[in-house]
Amino acid sequence: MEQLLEILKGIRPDVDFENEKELIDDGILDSFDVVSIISEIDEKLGVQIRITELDPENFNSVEAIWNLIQEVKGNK
Amino acid sequence: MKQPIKIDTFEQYSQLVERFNRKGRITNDYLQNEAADLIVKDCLYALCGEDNAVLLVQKPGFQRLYYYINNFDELIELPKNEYVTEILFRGDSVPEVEVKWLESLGFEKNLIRDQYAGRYCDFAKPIEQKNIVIQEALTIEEVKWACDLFNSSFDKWSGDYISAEQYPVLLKNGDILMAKDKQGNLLGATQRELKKGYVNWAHLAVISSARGMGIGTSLMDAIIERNHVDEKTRYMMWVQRQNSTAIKIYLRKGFKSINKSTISLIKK
Repeated sequence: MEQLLEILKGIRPDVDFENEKELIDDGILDSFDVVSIISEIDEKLGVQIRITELDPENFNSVEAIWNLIQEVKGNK
Repeated sequence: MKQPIKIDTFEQYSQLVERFNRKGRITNDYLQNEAADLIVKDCLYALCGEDNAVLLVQKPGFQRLYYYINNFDELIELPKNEYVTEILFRGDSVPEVEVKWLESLGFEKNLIRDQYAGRYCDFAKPIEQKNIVIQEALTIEEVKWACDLFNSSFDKWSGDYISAEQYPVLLKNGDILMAKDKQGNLLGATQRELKKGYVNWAHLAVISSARGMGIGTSLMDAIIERNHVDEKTRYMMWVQRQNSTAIKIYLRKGFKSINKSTISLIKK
């Protein structure tokens, strides 16, 4: 989770990822950010998120993104 | 020359992405769920090579291009048309490898834009200007005047271009604010877009003869004051990097750069 937080802060240093729980619903992250996050997760964590997992709800909080990563890993 | 194929189903789009979204690929495909809507409207096309693919979205008079690059040596030949593409980058370094690949396809660099954001609680207090009147656009003619002014500050390929079909909606929603002098002469205008969770400050323009008189600042203050719901209301905007005078005003107000920029490239 720490590594994921680091990735997110690298992409958007202005966002309080520890406390924001509606990252997509509140318009804090847009599709540009989501694509960047997916690329970094692939590059740094070796987890490839597929287009079918691109449900906005999966990107609303650090916890949600973390759960998605665990789910993708578990399905391999 | 290969011709683009129309994508008819979301499954077809997903299959294309699965095929070209390989490890280490470079892409600017931000379409995601928007793809489904484009497919329904018959607007989404694709051109595929062995390792690379481009998605093309039909716009009035040109196409918007999204790419998946796995092999920089493989070029995709594009049929004669006008194209625009946009690359997202962070920090100061423009992604030269993608730019080079696109230049090999015939693209030329166009504009760099940076995103800025701010919350109501972080903004400086509005500055009162006695000689400027700020009002919502009240007629379609005023909306047209404002949009002509906005559109004259960039090109038709930009995603921000406002077409005439949008004028009635802008008028009905009260999205345009006009700046006038005491005699009612139009001096400038600004446009908001109310998004879920934030206010997108879409445009601001002042006629050349009235610049430097605080009109831009008045319009900025008005759009912020009239649209805030609470202290946490957020405002977002994209600014052309060469607009250094405007950027100084935005920074002074409390907007911050959020480490997100795009460069657009055009092929005519």
